[in-house]
Amino acid sequence: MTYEERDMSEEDRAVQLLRTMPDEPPSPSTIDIPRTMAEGRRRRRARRWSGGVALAAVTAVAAGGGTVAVAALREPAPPTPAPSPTASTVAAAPAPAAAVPVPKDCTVTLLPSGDIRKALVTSGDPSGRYLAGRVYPPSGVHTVLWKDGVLQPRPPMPGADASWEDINSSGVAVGSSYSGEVQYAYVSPGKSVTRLHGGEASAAAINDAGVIAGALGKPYEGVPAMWPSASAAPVELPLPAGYTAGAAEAIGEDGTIVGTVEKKATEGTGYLWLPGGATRLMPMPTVEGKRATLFWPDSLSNGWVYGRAVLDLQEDGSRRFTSYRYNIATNKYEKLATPLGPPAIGAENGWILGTTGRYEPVLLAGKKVVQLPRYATMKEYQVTALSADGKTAAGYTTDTDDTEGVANRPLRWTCR
Amino acid sequence: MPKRTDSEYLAFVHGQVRALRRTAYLLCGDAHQADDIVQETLTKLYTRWPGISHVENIDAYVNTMLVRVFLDERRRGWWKVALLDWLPERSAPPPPSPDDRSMVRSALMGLPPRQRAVVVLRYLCDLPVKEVAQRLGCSEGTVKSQCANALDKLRAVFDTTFPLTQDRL
Repeated sequence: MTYEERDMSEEDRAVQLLRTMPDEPPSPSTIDIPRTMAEGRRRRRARRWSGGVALAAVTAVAAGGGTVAVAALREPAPPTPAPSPTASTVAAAPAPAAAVPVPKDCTVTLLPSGDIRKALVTSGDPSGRYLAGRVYPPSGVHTVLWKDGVLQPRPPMPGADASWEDINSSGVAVGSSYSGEVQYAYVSPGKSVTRLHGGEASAAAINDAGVIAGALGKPYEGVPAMWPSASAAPVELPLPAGYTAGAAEAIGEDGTIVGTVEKKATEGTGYLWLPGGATRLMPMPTVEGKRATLFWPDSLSNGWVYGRAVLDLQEDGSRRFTSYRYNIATNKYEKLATPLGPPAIGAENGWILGTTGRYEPVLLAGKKVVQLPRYATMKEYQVTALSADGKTAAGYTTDTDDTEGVANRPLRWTCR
Repeated sequence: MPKRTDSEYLAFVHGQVRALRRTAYLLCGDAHQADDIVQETLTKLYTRWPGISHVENIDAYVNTMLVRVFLDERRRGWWKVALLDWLPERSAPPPPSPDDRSMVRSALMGLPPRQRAVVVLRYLCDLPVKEVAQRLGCSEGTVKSQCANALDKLRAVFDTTFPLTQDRL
């Protein structure tokens, strides 16, 4: 029997049995319509920056009991970087805060996606030459890779909801997909795609040395991990005492790994695994005179961690986001010139790619906010990659559309 | 095009909330979780409400959102504790129960979430294959194959639980 015949079998006994089920929930509705509006208004203000994590609707819990109290720099950065008198062994020097050049002559290009219009970019490499993403033909979505803006003949990642989360300058891509309900991590060094060792896992980042960072175990319950190479067994990254879960999210060229760690029934907050084995719970910046509840790192570049401070206010139950970058060597935060929707992706020249509250793609250069050009008349964007030199950015549109649902178009921006 | 107003939102929600609860309940099998799914779906809807004046079929739009909230939440694993007992691969077949309908529900809950969503939308919400595909963001071929696989699994359970000789139908 073909699928079609089976599907159309209205008389199927299994279907008839299913239809005997009551569909009315047995208890009275607890849906609070005014609350959907109150919460919806708050999210409009937060402009979706909370991402999926805010679904957890957790109460405010300070994550880092006993962390070093560090006052955030609430004023613009000093013209020269503060010298680093701390005992930190981090090799990378912070990018200079002064004399950040301003991006010029930015242009946008639609990346090719065959005959299929719906496609998006999920990650890019430090050189700006490689980009990875997905295309959505009717036969089924699959992963793709571009090199210098040209689609590459690379096999797609197996599994559902496949996504290349990072690529290195040699074009080695890492990411994850689902096989049924189980997530596996994959690496593609070139002409092949292989599953990473370690069973249920996700891969988030790879550096040019080929070290991979991610997590082992189920999403949101796993432990942070790294793979010394594509063929190596994973190594669990240590969690601080009292923390039970976490995930590595980015890896620097010097081997620094940043991710989040969480205690039971709390949300994750920033954590660093430094080269040489030292670890550090990222301190909480001070936002509007209050110590932040959590810090969510997005990216790592040249000794800086870029991300958002989360401030949960007990008074009215609201949640606020403020964008910062954190200097690993000096252990200090610097507030960004404007709030950025996630992810905030930093480059070595100090440029930061993000989106505004209206989903417009922007590059921050010090205090300057440079809007990247729109593609056609599309209004909403998600950014996903910035080259190490800051000159090549990538992302996609997320405008909603009657016929297409969400009209994704894969884009690359270049600036001088 | 004018922006959608709060009174339009309230009118829409009051007209749809019961149907949304029913679909959510069929998808997750638990009244409280169903309410959580609907609460989150409506919150998402209201967040986007002023900006979706171009969407003509709000009904399909919100139902698509509902299914995605259900699948997203399942993937995040919040509800795993509740669902663990129902996974047929991991647990013994359910003991015979006087309530056949709860057995049917257990069998449905034994399906992986995406397959379950396909079955609920296709056979219990009576949507055409094309619409099921749109709501799940997959191809029509996937819907058909998932339906076939799901029905095979359900038949296997039902054939043991409700032998044909009992002539229940």
